[in-house]
Amino acid sequence: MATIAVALTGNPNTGKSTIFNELTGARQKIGNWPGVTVDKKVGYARHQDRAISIVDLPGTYSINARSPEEKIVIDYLMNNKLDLVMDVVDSSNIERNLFLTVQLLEKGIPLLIDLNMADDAERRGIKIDCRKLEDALGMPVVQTVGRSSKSARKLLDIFTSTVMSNYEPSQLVKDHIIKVQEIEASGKTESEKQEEIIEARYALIDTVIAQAVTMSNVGQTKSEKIDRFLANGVLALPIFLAIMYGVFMITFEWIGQPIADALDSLINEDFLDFATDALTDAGVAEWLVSLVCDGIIGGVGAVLTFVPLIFVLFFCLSFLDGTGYMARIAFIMDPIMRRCGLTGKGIMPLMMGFGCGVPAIMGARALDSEKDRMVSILVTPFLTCGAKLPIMALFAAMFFPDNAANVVFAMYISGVIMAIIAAKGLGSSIFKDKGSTFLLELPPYRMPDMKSVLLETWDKGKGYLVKAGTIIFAASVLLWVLSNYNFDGPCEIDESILAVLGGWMSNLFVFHGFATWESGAALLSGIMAKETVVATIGVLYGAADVSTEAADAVESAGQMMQTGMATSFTALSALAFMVFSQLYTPCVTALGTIKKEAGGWKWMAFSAVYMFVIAWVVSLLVYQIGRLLGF
Amino acid sequence: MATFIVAAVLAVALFFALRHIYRNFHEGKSDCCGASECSGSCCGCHSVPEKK
Repeated sequence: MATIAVALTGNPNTGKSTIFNELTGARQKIGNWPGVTVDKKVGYARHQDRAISIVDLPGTYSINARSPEEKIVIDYLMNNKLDLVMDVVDSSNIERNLFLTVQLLEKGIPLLIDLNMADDAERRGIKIDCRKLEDALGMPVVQTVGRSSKSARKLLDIFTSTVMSNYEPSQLVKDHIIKVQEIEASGKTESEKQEEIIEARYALIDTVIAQAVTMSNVGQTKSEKIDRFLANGVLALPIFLAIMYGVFMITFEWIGQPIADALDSLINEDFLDFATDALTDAGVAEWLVSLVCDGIIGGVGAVLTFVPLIFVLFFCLSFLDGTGYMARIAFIMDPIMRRCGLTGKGIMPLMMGFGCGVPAIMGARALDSEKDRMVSILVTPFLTCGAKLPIMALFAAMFFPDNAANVVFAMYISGVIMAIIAAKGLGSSIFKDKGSTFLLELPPYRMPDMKSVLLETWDKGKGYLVKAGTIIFAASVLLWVLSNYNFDGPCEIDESILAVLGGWMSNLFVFHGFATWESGAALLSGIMAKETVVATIGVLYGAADVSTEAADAVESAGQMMQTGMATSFTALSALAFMVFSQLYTPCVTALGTIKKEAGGWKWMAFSAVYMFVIAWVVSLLVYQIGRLLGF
Repeated sequence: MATFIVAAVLAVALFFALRHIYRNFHEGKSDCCGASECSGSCCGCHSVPEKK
């Protein structure tokens, strides 16, 4: 027997993705961001010996084909032979949801109307008479509760039945369609026609609601009561900052960092020693031991130590997303973010950027408009990520011992200011014509489904693991070769290809006060991973065991003061170097993520070049203005 | 002999890593979508259409 083709459509946040999961068992993001599903999702189910293919279409409020989501929905519904289209309606918002239903009926698409979240509606005093709604619209109506296997079985029974053949649009709907056709055929302007059609739709919805829905006032809902406290005009921002502080503390202090430290010790001490001994005992050549241990384990290990942070951070954010609080954060921050050329939703990816640019860039997926997403992706790397902190801490402790904390704080501020300037600049130039919409629906607060939170955390985090095994692995091998060989064969690091490249690069900084090959090589290696800037400086200036931990900056600074580095930099050139390190080209992992998230090499190259140019100019200004001021 | 074996393993690993990187860039496929269950066409970890 042929496969039954079913499509799920409906407004965002109606629990459509949850129903899809229940029906198919397929994995899909379930969140409280309105419009979470933009791409088409297909899943398969088997019921009563029939194969069913189910397409989960993006959530839309209408099918005017203005947004990509609307285009996907209308194109799919009009151009595919479907056995059944199910319109998932949030019962507690039935009036607004029926707008899409009416539009679909106008297109002649027969619908199975699924009144989802029936339990929520009941709690809010909304009672829907399914029989009367069926009579009013002429389409079959079913009531479901999103996360319920009973509801899923009920739907699968309907999918495999011939129920749709018994229904045709009611006289009320037929009259409405004729009225819409008459308006479209009239000689009025397009905007007048649209206005009249919308009025006609709402008139039909009012009639249907009057016939089938009764509403009793049950006072404030639980979510409204919580919002009085969490989204309160005065308390909202402090509560938000406290929650985010908690997320950062959990990630970078209480849970994530201890696990990361343990993993670091396991990889870079225990495993490294074991691998070195095992390879040496097996008689492996010295160069290969160095490649495996110093190059690969050192490089890949450095990245793997971030994995616990990534997973803990994503878990916290997925959990908050599941509760419905993320939508409130966007709402609270919108007025502030608009001044930066973004919308409220842009706050979360940017906040993540202080931890690590990679998840922050990935976090921009949650943004609705292409403009916001692209701007967020392109400005996030300006922020001081955890990997840049050791650079700032080391240089501040060495060259500004009395004001180290203030200088590091100033670097954080400079990153934020640069991100704001770049966001405004990009928003008013390259992405000027791209609309930035901020349509936000505040979903009800609910306890997140832990299975979904864990799946989402794994989905987001596993990409980082794959990258560690591919991009970072390959980059580590390349860096090892460059720092151990020249064109005549094996050599000391100061005669290596890396030293030659560093020398070339240093020519760019003749007017910046740090035109040494060591600085050039350190900055070059920083493109692999920012952490390597300090490690490279340590090796090149003869203090190979210098710590790359920000917490050890004072001790490291003491070590470095005994080396040639103390005479290679002045306080002013050190500041210029810090500014350049803060703002220049993101690391390869971030660049790879930009390529992936922005959708092409073009944006990756743009990001690499424009950030380098901005860093070069700002660093030059810092040094030259400092000189003019007599520093 | 040990050197040869380790070098061969590394060479194979590097080949697969580079092939993975090349395919990702060439096909516009996300690492997070590399799992078999979504066959590179869809997954639950992104909310934007992949640009092919």
